[in-house]
Amino acid sequence: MRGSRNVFINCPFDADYQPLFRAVVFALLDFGFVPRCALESDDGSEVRIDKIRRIVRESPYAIHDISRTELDEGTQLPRFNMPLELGIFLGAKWFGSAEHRLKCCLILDRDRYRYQVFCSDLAGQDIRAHGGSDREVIRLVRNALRTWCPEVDLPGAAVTCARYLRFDESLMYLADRVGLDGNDLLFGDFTALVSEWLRLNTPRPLALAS
Amino acid sequence: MPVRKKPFRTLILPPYGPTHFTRAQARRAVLAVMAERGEIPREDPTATWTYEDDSIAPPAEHTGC
Repeated sequence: MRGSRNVFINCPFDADYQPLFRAVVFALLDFGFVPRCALESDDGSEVRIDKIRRIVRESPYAIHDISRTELDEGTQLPRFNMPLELGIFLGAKWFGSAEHRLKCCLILDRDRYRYQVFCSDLAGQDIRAHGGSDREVIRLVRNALRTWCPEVDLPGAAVTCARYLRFDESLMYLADRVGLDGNDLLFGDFTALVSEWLRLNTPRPLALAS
Repeated sequence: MPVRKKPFRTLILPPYGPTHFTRAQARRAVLAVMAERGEIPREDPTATWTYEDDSIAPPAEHTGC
């Protein structure tokens, strides 16, 4: 794990959250990090919690979005996968080897103090509010990465936001070119399109310097 | 030319790949859509991954080889 740029993404995967999820994945790749999440492999023989545990072990960084911790309309029960996976990550940091004790994470919610109602043990953790905005989530991710890896210069948040909007405008056409529906892309397919787009779209600071 | 105090970030290829197409096909798709939009591709010199199909590989000076 030493020197790894893996970032475990612990967030909802439903359609409503896709705009934020895609913004986070794009931003991580544009900032030179590797988004890791449970969607990256579809191995029916691997138990889901084992997959989560493996990715947590391989990731020195994480982004946890607990904004979907809310009552399901049908069952009237809350979804607690995100807080559970946050707990696994914090447990690895607190009780793991010296390498794991260096883990860093960003915790996101819709509102900054909402967690006090449903998970008050998180008091003392710095929760950041994205308000459901893809621009804000990109800014928060960049600020976190800059703190975690100060030795590397990153594109500015505004630069990456603008690049993300340009990519997003092209996504349906890109998916169509590879014979897929842009609204129904697998995680690996989406990250591959992002990676190739980034490769062919050097950010201005780097283009000016080269 | 601006002077950079720190090295710029490096693009990293995720360890998992696309399921329904190859990276070479993804690259061709990006080039085609950019051309339709009148955008000019600028190869990121920090990206070093190679492709299954060498005919669409970036120029050698961009591969770090």
